[in-house]
Amino acid sequence: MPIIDIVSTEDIIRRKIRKHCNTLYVLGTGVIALGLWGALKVVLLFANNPAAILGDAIKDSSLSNSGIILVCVIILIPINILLLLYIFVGHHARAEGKGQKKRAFYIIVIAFLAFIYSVSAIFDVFALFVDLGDNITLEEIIVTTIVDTTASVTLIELFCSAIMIRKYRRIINTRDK
Amino acid sequence: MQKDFHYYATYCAASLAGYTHDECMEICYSAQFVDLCSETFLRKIKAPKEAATTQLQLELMDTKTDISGLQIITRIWSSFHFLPYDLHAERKHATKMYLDKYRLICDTNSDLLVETIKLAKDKSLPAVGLAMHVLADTWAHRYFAGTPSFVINNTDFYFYELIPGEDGFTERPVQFRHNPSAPDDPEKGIYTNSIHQSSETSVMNLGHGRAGHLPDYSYARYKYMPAWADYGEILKDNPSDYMNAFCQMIYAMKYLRGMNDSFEKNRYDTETVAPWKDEIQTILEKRQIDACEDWKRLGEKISGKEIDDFDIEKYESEYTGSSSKDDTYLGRFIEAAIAQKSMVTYHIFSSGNKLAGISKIKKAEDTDLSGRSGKKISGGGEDKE
Repeated sequence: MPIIDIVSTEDIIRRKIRKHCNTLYVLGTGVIALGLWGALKVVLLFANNPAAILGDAIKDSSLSNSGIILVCVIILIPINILLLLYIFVGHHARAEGKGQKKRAFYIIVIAFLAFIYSVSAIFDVFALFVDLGDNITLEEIIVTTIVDTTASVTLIELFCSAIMIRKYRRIINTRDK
Repeated sequence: MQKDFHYYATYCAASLAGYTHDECMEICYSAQFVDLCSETFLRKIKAPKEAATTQLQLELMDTKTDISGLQIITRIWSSFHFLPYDLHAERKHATKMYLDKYRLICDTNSDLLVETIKLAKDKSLPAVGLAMHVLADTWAHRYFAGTPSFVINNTDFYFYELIPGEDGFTERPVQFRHNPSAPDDPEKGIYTNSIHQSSETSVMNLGHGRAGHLPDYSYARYKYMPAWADYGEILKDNPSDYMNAFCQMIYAMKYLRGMNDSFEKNRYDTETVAPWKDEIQTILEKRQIDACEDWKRLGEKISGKEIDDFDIEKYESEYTGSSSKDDTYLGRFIEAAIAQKSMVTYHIFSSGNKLAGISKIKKAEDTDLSGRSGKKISGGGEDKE
């Protein structure tokens, strides 16, 4: 089709910027979904089997109800912080994908999350070959491996796209000057 | 395009091409009628359903998107509203399935357009009007395909309208919503489009549904990223395109009247339009979703005669009450529609693309668009579903 003929290096760079912006938008949405899924998983686990999260706290009869509530809140705080991190990253990625200028701090958060998930995925792979007793089944390990691997790939690609956009925009700005 | 251009602007172009007022009325009626001749209407007047030149929303909702249903949809929309540009286009690393759809993308000045105009030569006035509708739509609907396809016709949030101002153009993001009952708001940049459906063959991904009615508004200038463009950006300048469409219609109709010996691509009768250019440009640039009144006023100024409003039932009683239906206005339109559909379907099928179904040539001669010498089509082929 005639209008899409690439006529200059700048066209190629602008096309790559649009591609990476699209990646940011799509994967940013995915990261938010990932965070919501993680939070939902914890809530469902807590609803079905509180002992899995609270552990010995609920077996301790010396704890009052308000004590148990305090334990729940303490456990839920890091989960909420993690959820907020996902939403923060996803929101900024989507906004940058739509063309808004965003500070680079969220890229550092992406790198941090990508590192966590990558390490988790590696440990999951090792766990496939290690006997962890009755606490966790093989199916759970396989699913966790898949989810962690997917998450780490998503976050790594998000990181790369955010970096590439900045790199290409710098090139465009340099050429414009 | 919509009624303002298909009906009133075609009248203006026909008048400038030298047709009489009555001839202009027949031509412009036919041009607009292409957007209304659905299977429902044909069933009502007991006419052959093969002559359908459009599908109503309710008909599309009822159409199954299996192979047969998709072929029916593609046959209609590619033949009359999204004339394919290059049935032999190539694309690197593309599968056959993708290429078949890619090759149906509409653009201006195609070989099929030449065939369309030549098909209307020495035919009835409804045939002329039908050809003008197809021609005009190649300008408005360029870069979209007349087959349901997510990977070809989808658009996304990268959609900006270019608003003219004193210092040039301002980019404003287009807000799309899914509310067919609410009118589009050009002032705020809010338009209705079809719902996002990631299913490849959903009817939501037919034609320019994902861009709403923007391609049909003559004032609109916008840039967007179509799904087929591999992150390339399309800049659509409707005022310029519509002006070209208008000038090309005059050139085509002069050929059909016998004033020119041939119809060639990329030729526009700007000379005839020159005295009216400023007025036409003003109408095209005016930010309004319906320019019927303006075009009607211009048409009446050009011809000096009053233009009747479009009435879909105008020729119904003539057709239903006649024993010789082929000699009626609608009969001639039906003949032209079947011929056009057969011609386009044959060429799509000949290129190795089965998206429009199988087509068998009836006549002794046909023309191969790829340039190989062969037989010549004189009245279109017979289609098989």
